[in-house]
Order: sequence, then structure tokens, then C-alpha cells
Amino acid sequence: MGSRSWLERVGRELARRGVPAGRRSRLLAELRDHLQDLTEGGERMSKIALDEVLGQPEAVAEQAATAYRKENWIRRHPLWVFGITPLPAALLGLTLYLLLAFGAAWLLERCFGELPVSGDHERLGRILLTAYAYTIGLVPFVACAVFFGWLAVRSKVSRWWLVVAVAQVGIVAWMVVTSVKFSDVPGQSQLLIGLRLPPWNNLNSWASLLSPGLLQLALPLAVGMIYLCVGSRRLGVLSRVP
Amino acid sequence: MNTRKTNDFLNGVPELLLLRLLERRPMYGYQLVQSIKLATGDALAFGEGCIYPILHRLEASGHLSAAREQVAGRSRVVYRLSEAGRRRLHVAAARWKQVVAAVGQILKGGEDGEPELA
Repeated sequence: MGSRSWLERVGRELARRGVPAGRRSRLLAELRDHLQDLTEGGERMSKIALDEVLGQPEAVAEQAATAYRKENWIRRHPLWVFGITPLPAALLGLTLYLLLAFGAAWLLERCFGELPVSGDHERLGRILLTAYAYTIGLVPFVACAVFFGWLAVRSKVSRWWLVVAVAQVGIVAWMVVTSVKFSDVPGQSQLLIGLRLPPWNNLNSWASLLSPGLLQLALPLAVGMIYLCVGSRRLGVLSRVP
Repeated sequence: MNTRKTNDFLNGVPELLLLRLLERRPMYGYQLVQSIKLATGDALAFGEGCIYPILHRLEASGHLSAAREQVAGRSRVVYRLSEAGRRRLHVAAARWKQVVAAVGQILKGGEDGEPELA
């Protein structure tokens, strides 16, 4: 009875200090193992003896709560980091990628002036612009998935948080549409970028699986899968061990 | 010896001991406590329950890894030192040696330990 009430006191003190249920049960399970080892010979320990050997329940709980508080911010707020941030982060990534390209184009123009219009230059310009248009739906989102994957592995949150984050990034990537309209009139070519609702209806044929839109969804998810596989031994260790 | 005061003074030592013991081989909590008791002749007595929060903190920071395993017919959480833990141990051990040397200098006494008076 002494050991059970000692454990209950630790559990109450941990709850009072705001230690989450998963951490509480992990610590209590290990303390229970420890108590079993202590009383292996069948002897029973009084409450006072338990306090002396294992420590006061308040002291043990306080140390556990301090250790929990010292853990990084990401582990304590996974909902914010992996549940809410990915959406604005994906849009921010897209904006930065566009600004980067426009900044680079502006810088080139400032340095070298307007290029003379010739057949070769025009062809090269069209190839570059088309290639860039294709990367708009890929590069910022793959970078975003890498970032959240790295964050999840480093902070060792549950793998489900990584799935949540990468799924959001993938869906935003899937919604991005780009199109280039070239014009023979100088300065009149257009690069159009927009967001549409995820095209669920287009998934009814094998050909649709090879569409650029689906590649935009698949690549961030693949990055997430890689992080899940590589980091599976490190992710959520604390929550996995019962 | 006043255990509580000793423990306040030795803040950080349990972590060093745990890392050192786990460098030798993977162990579970009870084994670690018994090893510390045995190695120090009970000189470093502290609440045995208090080692678990330290182990959990080291695990969360990637210095240890933990897994439930069958040991001697019973399921226990066994801790292992990671590469980061090994590096942390070397840093902590070096710092501890510096502290011991510095305290030793003072305790040795003599002229070196006395402040110069104007």
C-alpha cells in the first residue's frame, strides 16, 4: 500500500505542476519498475522509508516538472509549430521564392541593362522562364517540407506532427498553378501564378497521376516520408516508451 | 554528512555520473542507482526517484536513447549513451577536473592561496 500511495502522490504532484499525461505515465511506470526492484525480496517499504530511498514525492515531481520546462519550446508547443505554422510558412516560402527571382531579374537588368532582342536571347529567355514557372510549385514547398522534417527530427516530437505539417505543405503546393504566356511584343509576356482548390476530381485517371500538379503534392510528401524513415528511431522516443 | 547540502553543492554531478556509467554499458534506472551507490560507497546519497527526470532530460536533448527491453525476464526501460552524449560526457568530465584542481589548489593552502594585502 505504501508504494502505491507514494506513486499516487507523485502522480498528483506532477499533474498539479502541469506535466502532460504521457510524461506522467512514463515516469510513474519507471518508478513502479524501480519499486519492484527495491522490494524484490518480498519485503514491504513504509511510507517513510520510501521518502528516504526514492525522495519526497514533491521533490521528484518538481525535478520532473523542471526537466519538462527546460525542454525546447517546439516540443512543448507542437500544435503551434506543426499544426498551425505550416500553412503561412508555405505561403511565405512561395512569396520569398518569387521575390528572389524578381530580385535577381531586377539586379541583372541593373548590372547589364536590357539585353538586345535576338532569336537566341529570346529562346533562352523563354526556356528559363518556363523552367522557373515549373519550379514555383516545387522548390519553396520542398524547402518547407525539409525545414519541418528537420525541425521534427531535431526536437523529437511525435511522427504524427510531421505528417500533419508535411500534408499541409503538400496540399498548398498542389493548389499552386502557374502559366506562362509569351508575346512577340517586348515586355508583354506574362507569368501567371494563382491558387485553386485542390483538384480532387482530376485523380480519376492514370494520366492525371503524372500531372505537374500532383508532382507538387508528391514531392513534399516524399520529403516527409524520408524524414519519417530516417528519423523514425529518434522521433517521439519519450512518448513511445510506455 | 549532510546529504541535502552535499547534493546542492554537487549540482550537476549525478548527470556526469550517469553519462559515465552509461558509457560503459546500457543500463536501466535501478542498475544505475545501484552502480552509483556501489562505486561511491554510499557517499553520494540522493533520492533515487530523482535520477529519472535527469535521464528523461538527457534523452530529450539527444544525449541518451531509451527503449523498453526484456532484462532478466522483466520489462525495463534501458538507456544508452548516444554520440552527442559521449561528447557531452567528455566536456563535463574535463570541466569537473578543472573544478577539482581549482578547489584542490585552495585546500592545499600555503602562500599561493592567500590574497595579497596592500
